[in-house]
Amino acid sequence: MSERTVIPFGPQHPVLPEPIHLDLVMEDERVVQAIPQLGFIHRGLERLVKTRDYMHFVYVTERICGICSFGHSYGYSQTIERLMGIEVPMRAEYLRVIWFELSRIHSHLLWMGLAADSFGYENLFYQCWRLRERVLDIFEKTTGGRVILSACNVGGVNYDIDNSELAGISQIIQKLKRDAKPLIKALVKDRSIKDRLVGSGYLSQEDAVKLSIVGPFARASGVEEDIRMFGVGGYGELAEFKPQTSTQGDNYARVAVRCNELLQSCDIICEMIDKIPDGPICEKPKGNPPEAQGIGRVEQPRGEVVYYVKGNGTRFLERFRIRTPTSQNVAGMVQLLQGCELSEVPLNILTIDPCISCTER
Amino acid sequence: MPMRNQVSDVEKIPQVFIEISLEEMHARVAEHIEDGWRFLQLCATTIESGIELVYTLGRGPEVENLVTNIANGDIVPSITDLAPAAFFFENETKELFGVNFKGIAIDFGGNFYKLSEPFPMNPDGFYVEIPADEPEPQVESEDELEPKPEAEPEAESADGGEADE
Amino acid sequence: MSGTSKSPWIIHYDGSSCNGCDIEVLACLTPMYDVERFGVINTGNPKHADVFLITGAVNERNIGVVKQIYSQMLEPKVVVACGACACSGGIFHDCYNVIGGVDKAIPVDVYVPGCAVRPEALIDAVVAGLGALEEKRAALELASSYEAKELAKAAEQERLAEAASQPLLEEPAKTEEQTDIDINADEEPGE
Repeated sequence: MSERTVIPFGPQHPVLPEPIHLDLVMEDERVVQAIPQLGFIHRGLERLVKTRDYMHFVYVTERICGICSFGHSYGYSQTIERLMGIEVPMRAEYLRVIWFELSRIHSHLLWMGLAADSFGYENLFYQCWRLRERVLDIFEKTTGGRVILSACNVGGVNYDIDNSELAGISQIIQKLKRDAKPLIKALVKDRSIKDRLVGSGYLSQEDAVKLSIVGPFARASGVEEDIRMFGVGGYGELAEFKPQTSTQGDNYARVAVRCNELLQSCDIICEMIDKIPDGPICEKPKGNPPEAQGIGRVEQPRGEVVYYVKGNGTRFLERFRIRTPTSQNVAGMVQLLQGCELSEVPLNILTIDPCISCTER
Repeated sequence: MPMRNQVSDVEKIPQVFIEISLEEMHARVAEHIEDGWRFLQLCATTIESGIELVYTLGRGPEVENLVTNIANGDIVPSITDLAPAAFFFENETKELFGVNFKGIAIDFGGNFYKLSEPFPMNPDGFYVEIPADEPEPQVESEDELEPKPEAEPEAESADGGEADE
Repeated sequence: MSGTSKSPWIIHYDGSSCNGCDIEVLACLTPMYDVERFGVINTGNPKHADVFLITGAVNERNIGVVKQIYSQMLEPKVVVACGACACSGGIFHDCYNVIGGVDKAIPVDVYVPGCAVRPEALIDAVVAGLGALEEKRAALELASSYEAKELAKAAEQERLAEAASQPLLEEPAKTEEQTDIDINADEEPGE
């Protein structure tokens, strides 16, 4: 009978970009149970709806998370527009999709770099982040900010992009797709990486459905759910959209799904730039949100985000709540960690792409 | 100037809000999950008479919200037996609003976030201890005890028989 | 310039931030901005680090962690508060769980504004912090040399005082008398 020890993991750890604490109950080298302890980033910003009106609150939603920043302002704007019945100009919808997909590319490249660093490939970490700088340059050129864009607003977008500049962006993205392929090949075809990833961290499709997990974490286990396929907003203008899935359900499948999504995003951006119509970019909202409740959903890089908004007739919202993908996936992460070895723990945590600052708001 | 028609969007992702009572909540959620609906989120809002809980379930593009009103001090049955992912939201609601849930899978007992002020989203909130369940009836009849001693000699004889052979 | 300032090692911790400033801190290490050519390494061990880069408006649970990391670092050390949230709380300064700025938990040497803070500003801040690091190191050495001198002085004075209090000639006799007194101490209960 081996004794059980408890090893504290986090909140400060070189491989974790964000603080999360786990108590790992170990028997020798195997994790028997993982008890998560959150609360290091809870700022309590949902109460800020009482002091900031619904137009100003977009800037707060952007700063919930730096990586998923544009996605939160997009989802919030979409939900308020639906509640108030605002019609958004078509050009604004296309621009929103372009920025959103760029945000997805930058997030996946960031994750690929961190995952490579967590299993020891520091050079791959640097190469992925170097490629990501091209996307940040596009952000800076079009909006002025690298991380927090402040581009999306209720009623449309704040900045316009010239058609000539859009053509330039299309060329940059096509080159990025060509340059990303060797990096993806290194992650997906390299023998030692495959040895590390294949078979570890397995989650079956039944468990994925029972734990109601979302995002690439679920799609890698065979659950075909992606909000983009419902065709809301600019996504309704795409010729076709098929979510990237895999049936293997292990760490390798998750890496492969994210790499495929990255390449798919490049195609979506080029398609949107080809088809973008001319027109205004913003429809200023009139009046206040009505006394009603509404739900909005967007597919962020980490999964599906649900926005719940309740208005009360004044310019301050009654309630605003975000349900982020990581808060759903925490249960799945705890399941993944059971039975794995101590040296696999950082990889298994990173593989669900946790964004703790989104989760704890 | 091309404008997007909002109506088609609303038809694409229909959402409904249904008001039900607290007692039928667990059963309705169980029904939906068996039907293939997926648990999306749980949201609590402070209203004048207490707290409004909204359980959101989704299936494909459809979204259904089950809304129930409770008073401060009510105990709500947990749905973590149906949807384990709900433990996060129930612990959070417990800490921010003071709503106590009975039977959460992993219960942090109000220390999920460790806040600087208690029940920040619900100034009238207070913590209610869940009353202990009645103790389960003891095994009194000998019928239940008998099979055990009978099983052991059978196993021993089987082992003895195999060892002999 | 001492060896430490020529190659400062940094430790980074996210003190309840949105993660935007953290990814800019990590972006400094990547080939675009590349601070590793200046000898800067991102370490995970507080005892190896000279510069503490902290982001985020610190929340209730994080105060203890931040203070612990700070206390584990060895002198001389420099703290750089990166981003608007770390300087003063930023857009979240009136949130209920936020104490509003890192300087309410630990002493800060350099403040860098920005939301999110730019990598160029961060490199600038670390260089400014190196100046503070050098000053602290010099002050430590001075203090240690001052202390050594003071200790030596105090020891000398004590020795002189001890020598002055003892009489010059009758020392050997006194010890014999003392031994006599010691022997008879039981019989004669003190005079």
